[in-house]
Amino acid sequence: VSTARAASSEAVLAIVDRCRRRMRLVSIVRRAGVVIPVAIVAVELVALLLRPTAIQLSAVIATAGLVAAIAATVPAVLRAPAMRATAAAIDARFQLQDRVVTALQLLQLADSEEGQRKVGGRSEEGQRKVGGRSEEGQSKGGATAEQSRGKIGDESDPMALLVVRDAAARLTSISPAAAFPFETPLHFRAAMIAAVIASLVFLIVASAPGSSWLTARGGSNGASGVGGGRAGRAATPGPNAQIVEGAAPSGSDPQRQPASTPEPPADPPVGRESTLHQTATQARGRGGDEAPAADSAASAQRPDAGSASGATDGGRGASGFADQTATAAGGVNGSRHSKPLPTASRATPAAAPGTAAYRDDYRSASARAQAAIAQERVPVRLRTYVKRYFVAIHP
Amino acid sequence: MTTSVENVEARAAAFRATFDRLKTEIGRVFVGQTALVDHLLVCFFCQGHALIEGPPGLGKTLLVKTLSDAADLRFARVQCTPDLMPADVTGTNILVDAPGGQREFVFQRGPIFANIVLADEINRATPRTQAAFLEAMQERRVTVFGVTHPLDAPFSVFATQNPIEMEGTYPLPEAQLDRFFFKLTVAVPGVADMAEIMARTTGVQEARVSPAVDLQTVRSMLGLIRQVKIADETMRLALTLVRATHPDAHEAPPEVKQYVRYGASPRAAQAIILAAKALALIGGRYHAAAEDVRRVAEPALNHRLILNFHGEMERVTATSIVERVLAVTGQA
Repeated sequence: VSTARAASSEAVLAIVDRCRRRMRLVSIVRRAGVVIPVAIVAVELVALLLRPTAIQLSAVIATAGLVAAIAATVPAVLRAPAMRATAAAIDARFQLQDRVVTALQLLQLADSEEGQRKVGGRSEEGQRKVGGRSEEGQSKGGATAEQSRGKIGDESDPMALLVVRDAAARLTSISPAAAFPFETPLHFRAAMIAAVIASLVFLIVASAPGSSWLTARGGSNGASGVGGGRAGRAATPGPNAQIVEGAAPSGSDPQRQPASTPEPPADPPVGRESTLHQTATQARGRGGDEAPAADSAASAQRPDAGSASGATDGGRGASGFADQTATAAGGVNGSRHSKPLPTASRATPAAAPGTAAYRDDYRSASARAQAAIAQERVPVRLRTYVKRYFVAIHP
Repeated sequence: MTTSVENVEARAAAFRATFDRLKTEIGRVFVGQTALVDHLLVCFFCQGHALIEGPPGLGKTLLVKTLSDAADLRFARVQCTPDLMPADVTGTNILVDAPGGQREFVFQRGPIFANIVLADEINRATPRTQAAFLEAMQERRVTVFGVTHPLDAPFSVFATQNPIEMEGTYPLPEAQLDRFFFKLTVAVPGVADMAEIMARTTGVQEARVSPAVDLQTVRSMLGLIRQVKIADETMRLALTLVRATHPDAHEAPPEVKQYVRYGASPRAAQAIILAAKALALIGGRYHAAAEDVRRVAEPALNHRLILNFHGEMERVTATSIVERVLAVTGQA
């Protein structure tokens, strides 16, 4: 009889405690269903507003993930249902007509004098001790719970054993996972809609052509390269962009790119070509004057120009391509050896694509390039690049 | 009395069997109204007193008479009239000839000394006579000429009253109403039940009830009900229900605040919990559940609510108030 009595008590306590842990898990998941979309929205807002670098963005994501985990877990743990509340939930879920909650109360009443006082006061700790299954219960009230199991159903109160036995019989077929399945949180749909909308806005803004943040990201990605990413920086030209600009007109900026600056080793063919054709100063100088506008336009418009695509190699390749094409266009070398243009002319903004001025510039530059090719002043291996360049910047 | 687990199980099974037998026997004579019969039997097994109210001719008296026949207990019927005296209920000392030629006063027991007392049309008795029932119902004893006479267990008073003919009646005072465990209302039977009643009462054969339970069995059951367990949550529900009938309680719904003058007393909570325990045993359980409490709340509460003038003017019934309390309580 005592074995059956203890088994019934054990079964009730064990299943209630398992259901309690399951309810806590369900609560965590339910909270996560709202907290995670909120964290996604927060990260995207931070990214859009503050335009952090990749490292900063990683830190923001990690922080948001940590905060989301804490926000989902801590309240669920702190507000974990008591054993009695769990028992009541089981009764309600399976329509057990208060069997479990009554059995649990009888197990609690059979506890020590201290336990009885705590049961009267609805002490959470007392309930945990009686539960004997939770961490605290194991440490604090393990022996007490054992004693209580021995007391349940003794000769003075057989009705109590019958109640516990009845509850245990009903609980044996109950699976906590089936009893308390994961549920969609109350505001899950709203949170998901907000997250999707925020993500769409983020993608649209991030993929916009004039997104300086994205180009900055591209620049940072291409920073390990020679400077191709910087070449694609249209809004805020970096120092390497000066090479491109300077490839044609950088001679106009004598402080940065003096005419006597030797050809960078990264582009030796151009340098060699420039030495070969250094006499054509006048035409090349003009070409160099016009090349930056075309180059800038190419950098801004073409996805493969600069690092608009964010690809390191693409940026670098585009840089080299722009550099070479600008050189081939007839101004690179000439500009380096020609007189620097006045600063005022450099400050003149390039014609915007699609305007009449742009078309005029294009026709003029393409005519010069054609002439240069015809005169074989453009190396054979670069002629294709020149043609592609002008195709690319065609108005 | 052995208290082993097996013994308790056997007694609980016997309780259910006895209840079912009694119900079956009553059903031979009294047609339909199963909820009424259930409540009456619960009241009987809890040693409570019931006030049965209904229009004439619906079988109030027949129901109580049938119960006494099926239970094979001492039954007494008191037909209450304005000229009924308290001594007619409790009994009195009479002068008798003793052996040896002397005369002495001997207490002549009144009908109250039965196990089941039917006080028919109790509201026709004078308040003085009604008060004679008070001590018997509450204290389960009678004091006559300074001598107290205990009543035998089980003891239940089943009083009937007619709510229609109020002329020449004396409505029961609140104190006495509170002593009734349940107030049961007999409803007009449906057509099917009515047809069955006609078949049984207008035919040749007369339905007979055979005793289904004896005194000892009933007595043993009384203690068993009190052993049934009840969780604190369930008990709190019963107490909240009672508390919600008080207009000054914050648990009270607006209807109570508007129409009720006095709410139910703690006796109502006692009745609810005890009856819920009995229902639990009937349902094969050893503990009372919230649904048991809800099932017995209405008969335990409706006669304990005293409506105010506003409620009476608007013909609000206590039953509707209790239903509202039941609907509100437990949802929060």
